[in-house]
Amino acid sequence: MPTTPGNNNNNNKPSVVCPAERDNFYWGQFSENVIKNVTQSQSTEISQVQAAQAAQAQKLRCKVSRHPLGTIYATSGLRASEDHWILDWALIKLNPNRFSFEQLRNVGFT
Amino acid sequence: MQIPLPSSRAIFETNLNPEAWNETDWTPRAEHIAAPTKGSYLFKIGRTTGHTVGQFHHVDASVTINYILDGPDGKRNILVKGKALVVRPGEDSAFARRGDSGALVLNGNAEAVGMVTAVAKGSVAFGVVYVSPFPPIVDNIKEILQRGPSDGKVEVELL
Repeated sequence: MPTTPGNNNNNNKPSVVCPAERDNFYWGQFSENVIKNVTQSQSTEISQVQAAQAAQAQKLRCKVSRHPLGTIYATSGLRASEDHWILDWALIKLNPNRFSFEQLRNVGFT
Repeated sequence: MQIPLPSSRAIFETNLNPEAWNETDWTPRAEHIAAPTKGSYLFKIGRTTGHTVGQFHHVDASVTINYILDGPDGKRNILVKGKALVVRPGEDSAFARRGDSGALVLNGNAEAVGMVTAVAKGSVAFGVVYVSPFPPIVDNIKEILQRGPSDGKVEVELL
């Protein structure tokens, strides 16, 4: 649904999380499976133990990276304009703790 | 599909004026936005597929997007019909995939053409990509910003 402009500090404004909750869920689930497989097989092979350690580290990254990217200032919602063009844009106030201008300029256009 | 010649990429690099990063005026200007021409190469950098190149094919006037919203109240379908630019991918790679939505699409002159909106699978290998052109987006931003109260922190001069 369209969100009209408003104060970004308003707690009622929806926030944007990055990575997406769904991505985080699958990454976490993948890590969980790797750890489970190695634990169940009680393997002592170095490669498998390393895989389990890497998965554990990834799981931790998934956990700590779950925080807001910013808050939505205004959006079109997914809809068609009066002249029938499909619109799906949002203006987002980025969380300064997640970004610096230096980082953004190195990312490029996305 | 061949990647555009280095000469066209040189133009792309030239237009990415390094001095622009030091500017504080981020007002969008008409010369930064362009309409694609048939067969022209378009570029994007997205979260999933990174740097890719595609070719503008045509305007599809009957695009249907069925978006499944997975919310706290369960799943909900949002059906949207409208027009979008169609970008065909290269022979060996996709132009965009899931997660690339919102990526800025540029032409060889580094002019903004549009924004990745959706991918249609099945019609061609890797699927064609639907891109919303910039002028209606900018018009709609203007309309939405004028509708509600502004906190005065965002200044956007629209075309």
